[in-house]
Amino acid sequence: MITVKINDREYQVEEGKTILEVAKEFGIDIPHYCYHPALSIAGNCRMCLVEVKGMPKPMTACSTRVSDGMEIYTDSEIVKEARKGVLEFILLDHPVDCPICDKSGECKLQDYYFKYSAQRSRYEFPKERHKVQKISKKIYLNPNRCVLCTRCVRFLSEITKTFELTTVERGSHTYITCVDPESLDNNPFASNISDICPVGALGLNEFRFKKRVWFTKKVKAICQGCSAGCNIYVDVSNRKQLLDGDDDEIVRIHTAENPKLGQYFICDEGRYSYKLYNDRESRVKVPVLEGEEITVENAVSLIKEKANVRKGVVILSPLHSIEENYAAYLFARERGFDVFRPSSFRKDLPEPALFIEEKKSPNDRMLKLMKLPKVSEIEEIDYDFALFLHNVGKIHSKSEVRILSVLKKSTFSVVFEPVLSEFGRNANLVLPAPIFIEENGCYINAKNLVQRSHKGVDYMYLSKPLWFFLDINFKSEEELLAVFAKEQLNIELDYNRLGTEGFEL
Amino acid sequence: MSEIVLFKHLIDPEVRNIENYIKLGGYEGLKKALSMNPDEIIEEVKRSNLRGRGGAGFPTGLKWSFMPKGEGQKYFVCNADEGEPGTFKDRYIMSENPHQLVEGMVIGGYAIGASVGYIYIRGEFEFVAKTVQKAIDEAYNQGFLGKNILDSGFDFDLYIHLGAGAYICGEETGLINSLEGKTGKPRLKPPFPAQYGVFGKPTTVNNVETIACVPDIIRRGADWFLTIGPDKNNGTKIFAVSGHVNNPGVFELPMGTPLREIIYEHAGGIIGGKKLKAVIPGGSSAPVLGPEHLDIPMDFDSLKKVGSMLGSGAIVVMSEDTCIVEAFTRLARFYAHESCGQCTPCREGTPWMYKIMKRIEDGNGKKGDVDLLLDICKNIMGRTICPLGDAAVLCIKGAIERFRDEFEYHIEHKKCMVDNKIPIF
Repeated sequence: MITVKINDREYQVEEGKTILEVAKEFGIDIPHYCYHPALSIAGNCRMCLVEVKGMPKPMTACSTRVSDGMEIYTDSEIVKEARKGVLEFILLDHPVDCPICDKSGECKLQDYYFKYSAQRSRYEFPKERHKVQKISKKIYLNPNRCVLCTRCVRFLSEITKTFELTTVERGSHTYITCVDPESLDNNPFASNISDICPVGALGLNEFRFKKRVWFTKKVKAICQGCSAGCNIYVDVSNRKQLLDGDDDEIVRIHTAENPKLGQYFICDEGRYSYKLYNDRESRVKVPVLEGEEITVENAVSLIKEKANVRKGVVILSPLHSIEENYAAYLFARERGFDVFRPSSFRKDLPEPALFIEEKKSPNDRMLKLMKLPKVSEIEEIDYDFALFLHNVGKIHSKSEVRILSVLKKSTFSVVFEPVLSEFGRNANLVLPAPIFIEENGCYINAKNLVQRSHKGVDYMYLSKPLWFFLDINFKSEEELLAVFAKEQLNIELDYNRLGTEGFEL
Repeated sequence: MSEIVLFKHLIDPEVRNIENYIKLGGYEGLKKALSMNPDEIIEEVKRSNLRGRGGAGFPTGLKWSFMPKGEGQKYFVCNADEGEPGTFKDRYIMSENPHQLVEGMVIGGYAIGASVGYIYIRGEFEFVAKTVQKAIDEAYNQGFLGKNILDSGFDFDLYIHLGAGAYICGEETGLINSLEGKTGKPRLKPPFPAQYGVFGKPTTVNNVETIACVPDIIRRGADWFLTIGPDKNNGTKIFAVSGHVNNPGVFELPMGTPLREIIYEHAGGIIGGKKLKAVIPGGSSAPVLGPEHLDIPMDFDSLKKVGSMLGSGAIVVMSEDTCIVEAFTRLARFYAHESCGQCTPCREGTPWMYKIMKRIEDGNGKKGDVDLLLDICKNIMGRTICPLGDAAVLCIKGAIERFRDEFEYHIEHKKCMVDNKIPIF
């Protein structure tokens, strides 16, 4: 550890880190465009210039490593002036077309210009113009808005190693171009370049002109697509003030970083999975008994009555959170019912396999850790009561067949799911389950990291968490997590302890 | 006649042939060097006060001593991407006396422990490259290059690499990237080439003229070299004089030769006996000087004292018939054109400066343009990855500061101050 002074305050920091990394650690914001924690250092935007005592000129915080006794100023007159200068240069050739830019509202150029410059441009010459191009089926490129930070170029050359984008020409004529649109189409991680673009130069065709970002609510969640447990933001349309009725629709999924997981990007499969959750037609809106809609109260008392049997079974789901699963587990344990787990659906990995796992369920690991028997081990399928938890997504086809036969054979079967599936159609009672952004839920990923997915919107229709339907005496999801952790893992765990980066088992 | 170190073709016009070169004591320096140990050579070069002739004037021996010791691939690179406007000195060393460069490369390679050397020649100098290649071939035949040179156990291979015409490849890390086959964009420093150079290996990059000084320093000793030129600025320097002079050309003169002597004696004075208006002393990136500086000794330290620099030693003489605005608008265009486009201030700032200067030159200048230019200069200076941005600023800011009245005249009267102007660039 060495000592550095940032803005006259002393900090103990690790040697070998850069000024920007150190400052970030202590919550000191140094503006930057080209720096990205997962990419190589380019040092080309010059936005992160800071003053280092004893140095004749301002230094780039992204590339300068801290040394013992270094005195850094991130807000001195020299720095302010440098930032203002750089911002003026960056905006020279920029169209300033914020009203029609999809990045507007979360654009670093907007934010920094507002915060660090806010001056009128002194540039009076015609601006250079390029055509907006769809460089892939998924992505468009607007070279006019580009600040040439080369994050996208570096992502495609360093992370996916596919080299689809490059800079061409020289000087102020430099622009980014796609050299292989076909490869970009087939690149399973390509859409990340729209996330890492600090301005509106790269965007998703799908999100183009779709939504002003300030009419969305960002929900920090865990991707439900596979057991990698990628951190994501789910942007939910939130226009209550305008009352135009598209509230709570998911408009996109994008990356939320988790340094503990080393995850700075997500796969396109996960990114575009949100459409599945917007299927309102097929949504189970109310409890349905044999095709008849019933009230929640009736459903609760009906389950109580029907579960008052000796031979019952509860089949958990790798597609549901710890909280939902453990509620079902506690319900089964109280009644001495059998508990089984289905196998996860598997899919071959793309090449290269980054932040993606073969098992296509977010919580496979929890059921494994509980050492539950698989559904293939069910011997007699004619139970008096059967409860199965299902979710958007798939489970292994062999498990599917097995579970369907259990549901069909059982005297009374209940399926808890948000979107009506074959399981619900074969059950006596279907319970409306919330989708993942409607509830707090924790998931254990393939690397044994417990992470929390946040509740962002209200329960839609009459959907409720399972512990409510099963009438288990809990006040919150968090309690269920604590009980699970205590009983199954012998640790104390609550949402606070999970923090933003999760808890490693 | 003063001491001739580099322009040996003035003694023997056929010195580009290896036999003639050897007759003049060629490759004696190499023989002597191979009998010394590498550290002794570095020490000798350090003692000679040889400073980089490419522009920065960094002590060569010191630069060599930054190379890590011990095993491992290292490279020695010669920067022959002579692109600074006004500069035309290295090409004559290469085309007339190429063996001196080849010999210097081998000695330098031996001193820093490199087994491979590259001569990066600018693309336009293809004809020069042919001459150098012939010299390299001759040196291979005579055993001065290749495996086990002169039975010393030292191996050194020398290759020529032709650039593609970018000024920025004269910046050492831009050159290294270009040499590797990448676009010639300068790298962030640190790491410096001595740690991370060509293909990620320790590398030293020196200018042609610098390297060509080495054989004679070794052969005749640092003490001899110290007798030429003023203290700390020893040796001879090739001055490339162009512009409004009667006898433009290249002149090898001792460091510290007064500017007046170079212009009025060697370069034959100003055309038509006109008065001197301005003189760029060291390539376009060196801030421009005026007639009051004529008695300045042309060496690194003296020019630094008056706020300019020796740079590459390219002297551009402008007579009273020069329109400064026109001349420096042309240079501004050069920098805007040659900016690599990597970092923001240079990429955006240099064309902006050019556009404003062009506007002034065309008679469309606005009040406040001069201050705007100075402000842009301030925003570029010291904030870029490589020195190209700084060079553009030094050039333009120097001109504005010295000839501000001429710029203001252009803006106010929408015409040039000078009647019957003679173009310079």
